[in-house]
Amino acid sequence: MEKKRNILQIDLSTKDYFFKSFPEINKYIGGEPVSLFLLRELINTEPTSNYVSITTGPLCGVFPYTSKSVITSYFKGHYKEYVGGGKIGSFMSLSYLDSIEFYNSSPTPVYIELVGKDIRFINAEESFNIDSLGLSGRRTKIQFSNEILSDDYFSYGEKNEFFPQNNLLGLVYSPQGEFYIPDIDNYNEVRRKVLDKESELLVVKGTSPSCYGCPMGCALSKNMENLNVSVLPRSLISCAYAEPIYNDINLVFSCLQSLGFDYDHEFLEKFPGKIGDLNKSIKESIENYFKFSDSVNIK
Amino acid sequence: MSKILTVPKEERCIGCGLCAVKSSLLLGKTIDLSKSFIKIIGKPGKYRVVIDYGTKTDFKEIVDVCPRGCFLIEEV
Repeated sequence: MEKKRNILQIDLSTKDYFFKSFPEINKYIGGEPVSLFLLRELINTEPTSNYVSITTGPLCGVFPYTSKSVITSYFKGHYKEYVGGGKIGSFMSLSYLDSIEFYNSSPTPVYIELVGKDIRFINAEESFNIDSLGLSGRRTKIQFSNEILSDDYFSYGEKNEFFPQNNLLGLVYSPQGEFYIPDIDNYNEVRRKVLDKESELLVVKGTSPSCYGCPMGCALSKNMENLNVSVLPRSLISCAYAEPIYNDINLVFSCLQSLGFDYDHEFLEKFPGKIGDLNKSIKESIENYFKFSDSVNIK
Repeated sequence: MSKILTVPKEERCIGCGLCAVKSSLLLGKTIDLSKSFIKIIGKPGKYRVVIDYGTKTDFKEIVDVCPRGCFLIEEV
């Protein structure tokens, strides 16, 4: 069975949006590699666009210690990734939504409410309470102020000078739909194997708010993630402190298989090399465009 | 006497959502948070656990899945 892979593209300037089935991302698993693949698609077609994406991984919300998401920004030929926790990565994954892409700029400051496949653009100048958006018990929010912050707690880091000024102030997201698990017994067994590896985590149990699906409650959950993590954990997109667990190709293979992903060992072993190629390709595209462009017209 | 799931130690909740996911999986082969009989509301540090008593709730699996020991099955 081929897993559903979908992305949501939102044009902030026109308020048009499209849900697209996007099986091409299967060969990049998820997380950072998928976000880079989508960015390369953008640069090859609209190298002057303002762009932000939020991307999740295939195990988010379903297996423990894989509850992060990656936010990728692109502006004036510069791109940067921000990784953090909370609920949004898990909620997106449970709705088969791999990535949300924001293009261009809104003419006025705006918040977006996304409930399943229903989108509402809310003028930030109007009086409203952001915490009233979304569905009770299934609500998560990301706010893009100087710091990118989810649920007023989980940080993705400070925006840098090349983060696009696109007037998107925040997103409130509520998932809808069913996440199908083909073999519950196998899933429970693999999940138990992951939980049994708790001693390999680089954090200890605590009482702090936890990322969704993570039983640890560690004191570091609120911090932005270290970007210097191996490719496989970063494609899942696991917690950096679970890197020793999700570097285990056999375990990752079992996790993916239990959810119906048809990756094989050979693919997973060769996979890290693809990411280096993606980064190289993006940098070459940017360099080529800006080298031959006399004036860059940023939208 | 009947048994129900209660949450006497709600203040311990870290918002991991494992109970909500498990409660959905107990009802079938899918994770559908709209069908979970447990919902976590509130904000980090101030979570509240809402149980829908319109369905069977006395699952030991929910008590076991909570890493903070928030739940209990009580006889009423």
